[in-house]
Amino acid sequence: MKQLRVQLQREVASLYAFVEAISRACSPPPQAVSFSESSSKFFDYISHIADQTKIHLQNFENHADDDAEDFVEARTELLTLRATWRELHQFIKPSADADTLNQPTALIAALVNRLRELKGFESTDFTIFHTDSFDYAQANPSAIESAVTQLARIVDARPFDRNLALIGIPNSQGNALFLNCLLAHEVGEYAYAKRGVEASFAAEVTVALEIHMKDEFKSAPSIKRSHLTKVVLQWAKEIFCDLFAVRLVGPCYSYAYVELFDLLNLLSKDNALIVDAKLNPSILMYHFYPSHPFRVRAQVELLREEGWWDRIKDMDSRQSALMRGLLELKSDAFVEAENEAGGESTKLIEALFDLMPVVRQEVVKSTEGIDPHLHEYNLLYEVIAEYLKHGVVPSTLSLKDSDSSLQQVHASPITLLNASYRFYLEGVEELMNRIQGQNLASAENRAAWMRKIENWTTKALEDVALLQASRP
Amino acid sequence: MSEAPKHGTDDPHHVTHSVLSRETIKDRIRRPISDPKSLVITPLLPKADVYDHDSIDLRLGSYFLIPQSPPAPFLDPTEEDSSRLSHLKVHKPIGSYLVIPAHQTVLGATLEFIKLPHDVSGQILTKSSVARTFLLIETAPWVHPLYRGCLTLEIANVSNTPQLLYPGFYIGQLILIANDRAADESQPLSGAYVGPIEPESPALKHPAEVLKEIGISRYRDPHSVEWRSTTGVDPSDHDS
Repeated sequence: MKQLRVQLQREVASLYAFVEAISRACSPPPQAVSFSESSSKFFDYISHIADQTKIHLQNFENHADDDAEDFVEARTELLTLRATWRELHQFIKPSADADTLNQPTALIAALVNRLRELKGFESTDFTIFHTDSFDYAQANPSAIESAVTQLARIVDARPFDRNLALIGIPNSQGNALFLNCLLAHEVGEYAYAKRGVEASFAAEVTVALEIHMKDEFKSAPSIKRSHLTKVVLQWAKEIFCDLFAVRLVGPCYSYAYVELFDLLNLLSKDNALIVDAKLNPSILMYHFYPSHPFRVRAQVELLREEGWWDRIKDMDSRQSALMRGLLELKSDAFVEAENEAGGESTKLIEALFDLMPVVRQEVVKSTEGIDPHLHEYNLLYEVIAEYLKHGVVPSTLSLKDSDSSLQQVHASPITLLNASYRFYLEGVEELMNRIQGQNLASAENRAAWMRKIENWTTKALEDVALLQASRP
Repeated sequence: MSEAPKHGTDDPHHVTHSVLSRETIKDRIRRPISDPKSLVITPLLPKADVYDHDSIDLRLGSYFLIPQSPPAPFLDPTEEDSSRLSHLKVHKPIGSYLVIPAHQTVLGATLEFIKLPHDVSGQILTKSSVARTFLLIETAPWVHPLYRGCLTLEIANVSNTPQLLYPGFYIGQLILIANDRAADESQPLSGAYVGPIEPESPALKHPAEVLKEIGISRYRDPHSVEWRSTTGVDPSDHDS
């Protein structure tokens, strides 16, 4: 066997190469493309911590002379470094893939500005990374923070910016706009973790389970109690994030949700709701997440409380028929998917129902003071739709004042998103009828004009951000 | 508000041919979108005065198409994707820049989205300060009534020096000219270039389609030595 110093040199070099390979994706960042400021900030940090790690490794062979105890400690350090870089690996290249042509930059800027309206989030920023699965994801801020904090301490690097969050979008959706309204849910997950909401739900979940499951819960082994609590907590978290998203961006979140999960499948051809779990299994509640219809129903209930529902219920789209049907749906329609296996299913759902007022309350508290822009939407929806119908970007709107004089206004990003998404759902035919040679029955033609509506809305979001920045 | 005077005719579509002044441009911009005389130029950033007496300054947008060697050895109108594949799309956010090498070209677009009224044509010219660096921005400067979209700019650096293009900088000026007869807004719009927000690669027409319209029965196929029929019938059959 070679002497320890030589063995260690090889192991350290292997880790050095490992760090170099991982950080290479963004250190330096690819020059042929552009990145958002938050991505650049993230890459700067990765470069810094990679450099520090390499410097640390460069001096590592001294540990070959340590005594047995120190040596074990030093070798464990190598293991920690490798584990943390393995953790970082999943974000670095996918973040470098999300350049400004491959992420919805204008929408993300609007979401960040919206979040910054809330107390405690004034400096928050998001770095976008791509995911391979069709899943929006929020990297758990505390998990990343603790991993990187430990790494930074070992290699003597500066701490990771606590206000920088990482959000994943499906890699095919970088150019989409409306579907990416679902990112608001991930913003909600970030807020959920940062505000420590789970702690305030935990006690309530226990109470609800004790009420509905009685001794079955109280005298259950702790592992089972913990499992049952986790199920209801997980449901509550998902619903908190949905409702947080609705408070943040309004009904466009629900439109995107219905579209992504194709919940229009819940409607019969005469627009009645199909609630049979056998015919339509999406009504089932799974332990990992509540059923989609349940979640949309909770969103529509909030939209009704907020005053949005009156503005959107008559929309000429099957989306509003679905939302209306879900509002009228009785609570006992929701069935536990694992019913046969568990037996405690209905009681879990009942516990969740008990928790719902607390969830709503927590959402309102977490988003206190946010303006839903409902009044503005009411005033500008038809004007924005008129601009889109004319094939014009709705960033500067001319409208008549109460005294019939003309004035120019710029809608907020939230109003733009909600009004344009509504037009996307109900107005594309009007637009196509104004263009030569379009076939309403052609999916290709329709998709092209739906894409145009997204493009015009994206441009309007960019314009409004510029107008805001250059305001005297 | 002053409007181009009528020519002593009752025809509401009949107006005098004249360059629109600053006041008229502002008046047209204020009109609601449903008014066929409305003009849209957005965004007009509040800190800057973009109006001259008879024109309005336009800025460079953030998206570019850089010509690149296509998979085929030439821009091929007989191949559906040739035009798209001949360009590389690049985004330069405001604050960053694009280098345009000496004697090279790039497609850009105005930052402003424009919708012209039914009775007004436009012409975009290189700003004189830009032109003096030997950057030309337009070789197809005419804009038709009712056009809507960001204007695609065919930017050419004809100087001997590489130059920097900063999005957000003034690059051109738009002259608006009242036509002597307004276009009919009730007619459907042509779909080819409605509402672009970035530069668009050209929609190349297939030679068979264009030549057939003028009665030509055959064309040379760039991929073979054969002649092809514009009518779908093999020309060698005719010859025999």
